[in-house]
Amino acid sequence: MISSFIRWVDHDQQSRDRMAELMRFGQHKESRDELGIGTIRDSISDQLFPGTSVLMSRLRYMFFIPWIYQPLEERKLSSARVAAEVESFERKLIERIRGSEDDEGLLGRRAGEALKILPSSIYWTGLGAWGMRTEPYANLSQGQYHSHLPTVYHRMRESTALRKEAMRVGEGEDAPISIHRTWVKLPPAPDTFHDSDSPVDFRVTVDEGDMIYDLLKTNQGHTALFDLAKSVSTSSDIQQAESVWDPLIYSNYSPYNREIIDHARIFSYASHGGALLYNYLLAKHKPQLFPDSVEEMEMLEEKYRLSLDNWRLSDEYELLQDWDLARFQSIARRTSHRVDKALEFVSQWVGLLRSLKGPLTESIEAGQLIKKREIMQKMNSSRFKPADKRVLENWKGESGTNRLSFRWSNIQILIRDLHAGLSQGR
Amino acid sequence: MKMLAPKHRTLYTDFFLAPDGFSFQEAIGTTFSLGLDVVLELPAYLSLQSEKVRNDPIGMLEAMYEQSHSIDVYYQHGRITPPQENSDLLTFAEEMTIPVTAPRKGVFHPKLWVIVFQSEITDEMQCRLVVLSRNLTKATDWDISLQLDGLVNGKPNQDMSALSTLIRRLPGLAKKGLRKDQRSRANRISKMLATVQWSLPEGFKRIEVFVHGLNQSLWNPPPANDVLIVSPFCSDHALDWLTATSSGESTLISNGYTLAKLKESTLEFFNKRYTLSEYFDDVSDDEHADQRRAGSLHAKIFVYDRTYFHTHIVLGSANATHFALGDKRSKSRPHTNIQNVEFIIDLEGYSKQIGTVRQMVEDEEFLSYLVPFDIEDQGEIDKEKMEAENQLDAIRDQFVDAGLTIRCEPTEEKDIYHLTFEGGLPDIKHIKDCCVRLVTVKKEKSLETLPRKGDEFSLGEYSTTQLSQYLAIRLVSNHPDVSLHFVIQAKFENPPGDRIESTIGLIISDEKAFYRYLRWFLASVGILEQSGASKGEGKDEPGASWLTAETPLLETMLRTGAHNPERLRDLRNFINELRKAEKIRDQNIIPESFHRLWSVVEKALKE
Repeated sequence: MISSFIRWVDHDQQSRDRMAELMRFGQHKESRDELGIGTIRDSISDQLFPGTSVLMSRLRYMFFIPWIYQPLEERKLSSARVAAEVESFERKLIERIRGSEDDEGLLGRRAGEALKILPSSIYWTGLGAWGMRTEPYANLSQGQYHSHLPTVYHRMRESTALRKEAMRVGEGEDAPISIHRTWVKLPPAPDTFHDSDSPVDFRVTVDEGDMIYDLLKTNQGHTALFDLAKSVSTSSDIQQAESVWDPLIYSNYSPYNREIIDHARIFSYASHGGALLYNYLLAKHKPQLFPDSVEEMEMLEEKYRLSLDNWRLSDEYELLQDWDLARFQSIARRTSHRVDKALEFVSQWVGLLRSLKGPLTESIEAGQLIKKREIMQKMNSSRFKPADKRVLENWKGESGTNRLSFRWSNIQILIRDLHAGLSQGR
Repeated sequence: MKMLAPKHRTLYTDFFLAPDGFSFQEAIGTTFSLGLDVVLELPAYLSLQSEKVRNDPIGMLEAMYEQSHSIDVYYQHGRITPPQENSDLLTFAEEMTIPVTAPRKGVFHPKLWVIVFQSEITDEMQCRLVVLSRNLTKATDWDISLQLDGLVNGKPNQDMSALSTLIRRLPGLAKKGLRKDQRSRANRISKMLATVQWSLPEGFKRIEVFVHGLNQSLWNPPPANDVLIVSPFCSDHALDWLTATSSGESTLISNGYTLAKLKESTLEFFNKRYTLSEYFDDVSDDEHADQRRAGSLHAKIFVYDRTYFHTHIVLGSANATHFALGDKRSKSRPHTNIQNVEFIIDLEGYSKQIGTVRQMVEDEEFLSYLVPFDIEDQGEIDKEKMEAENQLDAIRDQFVDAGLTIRCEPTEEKDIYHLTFEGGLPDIKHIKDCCVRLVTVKKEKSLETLPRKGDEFSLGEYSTTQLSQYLAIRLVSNHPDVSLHFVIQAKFENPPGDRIESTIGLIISDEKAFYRYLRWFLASVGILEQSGASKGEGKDEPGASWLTAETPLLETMLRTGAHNPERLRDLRNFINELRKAEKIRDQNIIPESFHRLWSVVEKALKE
């Protein structure tokens, strides 16, 4: 019962994780996904452009990250050291890129070294999905990967020893044993990359471009991402295209991807109507709690009434009438995103739009559906029924009124960087 | 190698594990630095074990807040490390953390716990003393601990009189007003310590404790043959003094940057000099292996072979520096020479059982973590950087000395308060930037720059749950690599009475939050499987995989039920308790969809 001892101390990781998760309950998160359709958007984006995210700003980060990791792994540094060294390298990288001619898309341009989400975590999933990080490490999260490092080192040592042995018995360079690796064999980093005073730039070299091209072809060959990657000759059209479905580039896609894109377009149109109506309803609602805002809100009301009229007059309204919802649902369900509740709402919304007689702003039913959805989605932070009035007060008259773009602007940049690399010396 | 073998390890939370038949009663802790989320781990850990919370999961946060009233942590003012994330729950630590300063110029450095356990049947009590080299932070360094259990039996025992004095004097060092129960706890525990019969670790025959910096008797190194000094920070004079009484071999283990700063003559005095190896070469399956390799050396251990039969192991907060130990140059070692408050425990044992210095430093496993010190490996000391760091440290000290107050005033709007910051602000010239925010708000919402010198300024408006006495301050120096981020616990004037209740209410604010909370709770008490570790979604934070897993609750419940039928009974009991709790509270907390989900689980598992 009584126990006295001298021991080394370990922290209790389980207790620490538990606490970290509990702390998150006390965070105020502003959801921009007022109508709760983000899961469908993500499912479609992931099918079209796997491994990408809205935070990706330049292509060459895909190389920076493995270049940072590789030498640390060769030195067989401990997991904790690797994590720390990577972070410190990434933070220093910010100033080094700033020192180059082209710092557009620099992660941390404003925050500097205080940058919260580091490039390695933004690009981590992509590095796995594109095949830069090899099996069996492709699907590990960054944290899991770090904790696997001791095993990685063990396998590296084993394979090195086996290979040495094979060379010794005379099999020479052709020995059928390859050295265990976590990253594919990459073009080498520029000589100055590991020299902390030299600038680093975003220019993708021809070797790097080829590498990405080959990896995408092998690992993501059927996706819209690769359809665009291989369209080097229409590169300027891609940069001009205003959306994924812009006619300028539509012919670049395979029939399989065209189908997804067609559905994405109508879905984006339908949700846009919902978002405009939501903002219209808020403009009507706000003066009830904040009487001072009445004049400002009347102007907003008018603005959204006009936007909704224009929305209704669009050619896309016709597409809505014949939209094959059942097919759309089966496409949206292809990934692991949980889309069921969102799909249910989309069906109700589209059903309502199809049977609509007068203007959307006068439909009581439509208003109720949107309000109900938002309240269910945001509960206490709903702007219609706020637990804390500030939620509505902070609404400045515009919330999620842009059309869903399925990461289009990010994709344009990634493809631009890739094509710039590929067309060098050709 | 017996006593300090790397395989002898313990989890920090295990110190709080009550002996069989006993339950946790109260505790006083001291530390130099602390992390707010780390402090909160303790009441969370204790609440999750309590019967009460198991019967009323919705009451977890209330229980945790209550529990926080039974633990007091005294720490060096200004040394709260800012939490990674903002969270309203951080305010729960306010009742536990008490800033103190050392009476002299130095710092308050002891890292220890005195924990009281109460028998569940009789009125018997047990006391546990934990002496550590680790602060209450997220550090993963090599740190050592001593756990000492004892029975409170009313018989006077003077072994720990220095500790008893330290505990009694803590409230007097505090820089904030204490609650009445906090004062009486210090008094009660101080008195109790004089009546504990301690049981020593095996192989030891005598203990003696010393508190430096509070005018009590000082520790002196015993005359000895071989000596081993382990200390992350060292100074020439202190090392001289520590080894002056020994005649045999001496070994020094420290960090490279510390050794590089020592005089050559000091280094040469030691027969062996080591630093921790940064590389490791074994791949063991031991679950703690990675922690063991991480971090740098932080333990402070002095070992003396007094004769061939007796060995002293000296542990505590004191580094081998003159701030902690004093200085050989002044013969009488006047008290004023020691600036820090430190806690030192000297254990004398039988060499045969605990090992000699030689056995310790020649042990193969121990050696495998060390490399001989090589001055060539050490980088140049960057003087400019050091100066910039010192400059920011000095500004932090000014913040500590300023005695800041946050005044809280209601606004016309319900649940919105206006905060004003009062107190003589330090004169922050010659630095690039100084930002400030409450720890409950996001970093992005920091107030850009403090007015440089002034008496009062507005912190803006906050909702009830965000009100906090913890101010995160970030100083940015003109040197490109130097900034300092710390939290000051200010005095809080006039906070609304219901802010903790409001926070508790907000946690399960919607259906999504309910499910997240449910998953958290069930995994935390071990009813649900800790799933998702192998899913590799790539979204999880390192280390938090199983709790943040995206696996739906339904799937997890079914899997748990299928693998572990006896857990299903726990789950069923849990659901019943949840329903009861909801009724008692007369609140609608369980969403309708959950009842449907549960009936699916029950049906599926019956089949």
